[in-house]
Amino acid sequence: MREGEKFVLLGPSGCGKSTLLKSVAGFLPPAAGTLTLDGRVIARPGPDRVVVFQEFDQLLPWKTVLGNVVYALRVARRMTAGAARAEAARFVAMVGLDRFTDAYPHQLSGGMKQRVAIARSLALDPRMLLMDEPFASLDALTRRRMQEELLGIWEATRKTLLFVTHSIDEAVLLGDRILVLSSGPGRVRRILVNPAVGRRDTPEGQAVVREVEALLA
Amino acid sequence: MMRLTRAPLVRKAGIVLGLLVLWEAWTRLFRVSPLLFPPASAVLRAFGRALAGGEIPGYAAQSLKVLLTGMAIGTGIALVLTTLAVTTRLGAELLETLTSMFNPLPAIALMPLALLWFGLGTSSLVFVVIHSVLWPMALNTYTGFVTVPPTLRRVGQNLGLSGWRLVAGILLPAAFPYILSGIKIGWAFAWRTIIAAEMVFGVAGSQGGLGWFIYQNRFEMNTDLVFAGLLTVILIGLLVENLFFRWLERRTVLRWGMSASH
Repeated sequence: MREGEKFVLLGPSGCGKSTLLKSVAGFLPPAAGTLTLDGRVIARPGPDRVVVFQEFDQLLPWKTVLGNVVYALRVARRMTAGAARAEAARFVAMVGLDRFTDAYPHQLSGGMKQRVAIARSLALDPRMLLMDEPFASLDALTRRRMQEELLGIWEATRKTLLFVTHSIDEAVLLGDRILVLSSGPGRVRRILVNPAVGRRDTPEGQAVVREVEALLA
Repeated sequence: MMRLTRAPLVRKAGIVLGLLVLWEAWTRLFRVSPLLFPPASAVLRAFGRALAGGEIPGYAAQSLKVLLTGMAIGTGIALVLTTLAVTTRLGAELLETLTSMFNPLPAIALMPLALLWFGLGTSSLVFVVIHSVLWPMALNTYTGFVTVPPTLRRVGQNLGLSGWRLVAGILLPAAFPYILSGIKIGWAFAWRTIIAAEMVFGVAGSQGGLGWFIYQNRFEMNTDLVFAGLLTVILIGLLVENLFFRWLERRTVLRWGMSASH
């Protein structure tokens, strides 16, 4: 992967795309080969590679929206309480939840929960942001809005992003490069350079969608 | 809204009042010996006197002090055991074996041993309270730990937490609904155990507990005070369960939208 790019792992369920992301995160050892970040072998999870999960229960239910971000900052970046609060407030505002800083996760909708998770990950200022189908449990409308927002946030932060999805549309909208995987057994079909990032609905984007569909057929 | 929530409470108060009236009427109409069953009014008067005279508060404070000591130690041991159980396989097997062995054993059955090991005194009481609290606490906390969503555990690891810092930062609060229900069960066992145990171990040092107060007054045939002692046991139980634990739940699991599903 290259610095500052949006790299998408795309494939049907069971192709190992999530497993690969979990290996990058350090939760699972790779079955073969080694993964390195800045020349160092990835051996364990760490806040330099923050994961946004698909599951809504990734927020700490006993902490408020702001509290979730503050806690992460204090633990992973060892910030003082005051500095962490200021930094957390900035990122909560960035995902548009400044009116909900004192709400608890169970009071939020699914889309809002995922926004908090994204704010928490970005606040940690990781080397890489890993997203494991973060919008897969959302309804179609919210999902589309979150994809657009993620593009906007990425423009503002330019974080190196590894994004796992089984949605071709999502891959073509978000990925600078798309790694297409097939299942049974998991194989790399191709690494596709996507000329239509953020412009999925243009003729150019639709051509990429058709190309990927052909690869997976 | 107010009417709906208050109504059952009003009816329950009415039931209690009705029972008191029946009790009073029965003892007076049939001239029941006050040595066996004093009238409600006499019991309430005795209760009022013993309360104002500082007798009941003193005995109750002693019982609660011993109980809290035992609960604190029992909870501590339960946390150590469950932390071991979630971090090592041997720890899990140790915990499962110990709880299945000792959980069915009533604390009262250990009193002869306690007497042998610690003699008459506070240590014996604390020992049986620890036993009554430890196993339900350990069982519940362990269930809480293993039911923590794997995603939450990964979030903690992702922040760089591991070992006891992961336990303290993520697992403990995530398992809190279960821990709280463990504390509630532990309290219920411990409160019943200490009252019974105090009757056997009697007075420890200068001040006895409520169980001793009841036992001693039976010995002196102050039956109204025996009833007053029982009334205190009931009242403290109700206060802790309906006021303190409710309050704690509102401040924690209800606010967080968390619940333990057994």
